[in-house]
Amino acid sequence: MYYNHNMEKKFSKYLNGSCSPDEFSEVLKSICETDDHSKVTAEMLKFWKDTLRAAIETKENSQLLDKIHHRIALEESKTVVRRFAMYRNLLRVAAIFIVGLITASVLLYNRHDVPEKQVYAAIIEKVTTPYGARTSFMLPDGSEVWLNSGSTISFPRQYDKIRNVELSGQAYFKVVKDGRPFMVKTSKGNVEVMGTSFDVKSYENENFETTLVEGIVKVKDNTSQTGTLKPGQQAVVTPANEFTMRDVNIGLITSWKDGKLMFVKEPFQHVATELERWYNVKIELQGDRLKRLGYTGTIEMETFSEVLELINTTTPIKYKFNKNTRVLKIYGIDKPDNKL
Amino acid sequence: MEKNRVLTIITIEKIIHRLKNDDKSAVDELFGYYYPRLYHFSKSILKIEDGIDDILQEVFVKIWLNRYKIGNPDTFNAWIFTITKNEVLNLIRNNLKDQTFKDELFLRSVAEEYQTQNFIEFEEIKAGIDKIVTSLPEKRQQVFILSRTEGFSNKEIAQQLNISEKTVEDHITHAIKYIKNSMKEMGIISLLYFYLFL
Repeated sequence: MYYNHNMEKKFSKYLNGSCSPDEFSEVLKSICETDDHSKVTAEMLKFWKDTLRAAIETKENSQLLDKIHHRIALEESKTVVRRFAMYRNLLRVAAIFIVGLITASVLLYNRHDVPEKQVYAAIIEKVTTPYGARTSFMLPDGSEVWLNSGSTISFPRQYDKIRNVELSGQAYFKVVKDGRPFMVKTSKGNVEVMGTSFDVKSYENENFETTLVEGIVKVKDNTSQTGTLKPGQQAVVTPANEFTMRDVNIGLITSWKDGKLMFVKEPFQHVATELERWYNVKIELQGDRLKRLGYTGTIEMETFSEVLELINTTTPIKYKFNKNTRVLKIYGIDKPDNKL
Repeated sequence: MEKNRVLTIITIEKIIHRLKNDDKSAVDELFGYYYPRLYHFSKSILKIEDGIDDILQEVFVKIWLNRYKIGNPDTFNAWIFTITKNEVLNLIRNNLKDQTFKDELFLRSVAEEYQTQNFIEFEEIKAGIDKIVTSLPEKRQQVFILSRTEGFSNKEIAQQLNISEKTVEDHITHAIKYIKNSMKEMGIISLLYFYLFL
């Protein structure tokens, strides 16, 4: 028996699993050559052409297809955000408008494909806002969504019997009534409504908060604790699964959707977390006492340096900001903190 | 076959046209046509299914991002080949540092008669196989040589000899069994030989 030395035979033996060990190492060697014109590349091209002509069994993978659609949506929002970052401080409002517009046009475009209802029900749209960006747009049923920084929302292109959206992060919903229930799913619990306006906040490692503005909503957390909210009420589920309901100032909670951050005696630690997301920076608080400080104030469409100035003049702090790492270090000044 | 190919080209042309018009639903059809083929292609080369879906996700995202640059179906197919092949080759190259991957790849690419627990030199096995093969029945020998020397797949051998694929498989299985048994006997002999000289 003789052993043939040309690559064509070796490669087809490799594919068929009938190599001898030395043929196997030769194919591997050729694979490891990073030269584009390696012998094995030519054989692979032949194999690809055969594959295109061959009768290949159909193979479905809707999960992967969903992932691809998600990635495509993500890549496209990245392009927008990259452009957006250049004018971050000048054109914040305009950029939010652009993101919203693009998303809206995607949705509008999909609408005139209504006959293929089933196909579209299976397709999941995803919208992601990176830190430092916010957006608002309309869902397929006409409900409006405002998406806060560092949040992701996904929903089918076409709703079936239940209007489902999945959320991580924070969003404000203005749901239109159309007879079908509207369900917000998060990793921490679900919120079910018919037609109303409400805010859902579900960031990792933070409280899960649902705030009702008008209408009625039902909140159910992962441990099946439920509560029905009236307007002006908020349901809070802590990371330790403590479920409470309380009356809140709605304007304070939902101000972010109008481009404002409002705080009333908010622990500085929380303020820092919000600012991190809002401005895409990393904030390090130096000293425990600082974390316990309360901050009261409204931040409205200011640039980050303006915000720093503002906090600096209204609170006894010093800060250092590294523009390259985007890390902000805040130090407390040693004097009684009763001014806040 | 040729008629199907023409039809396919028309379909692909339509898909390309829709992609260029930013029609995201064209991605679904693109996926329906190419995913099974790209999967088959990648799996045949990678042998291991882990990581194929990640590669193919990249491929489809790249197609979308570069949709305005797509030419005709033939250049499109060649371009898809290039990006997929590069991803597949990179994955193999990276994984080769991992001995378990290497072993697995060996197991799935190297003919069974070479897969032995004994630490005998490969040249020795090869010589042994060559000798044993000559004592196989004629038809079995012919099938075995077409597979191992000529590199044909079982399907191709079946077509050439006008027998069923199942028959080809049986011939090969029996040949391997016969070779392995014969080698075992040879192995025992060489082991005794080794003890005698110790």
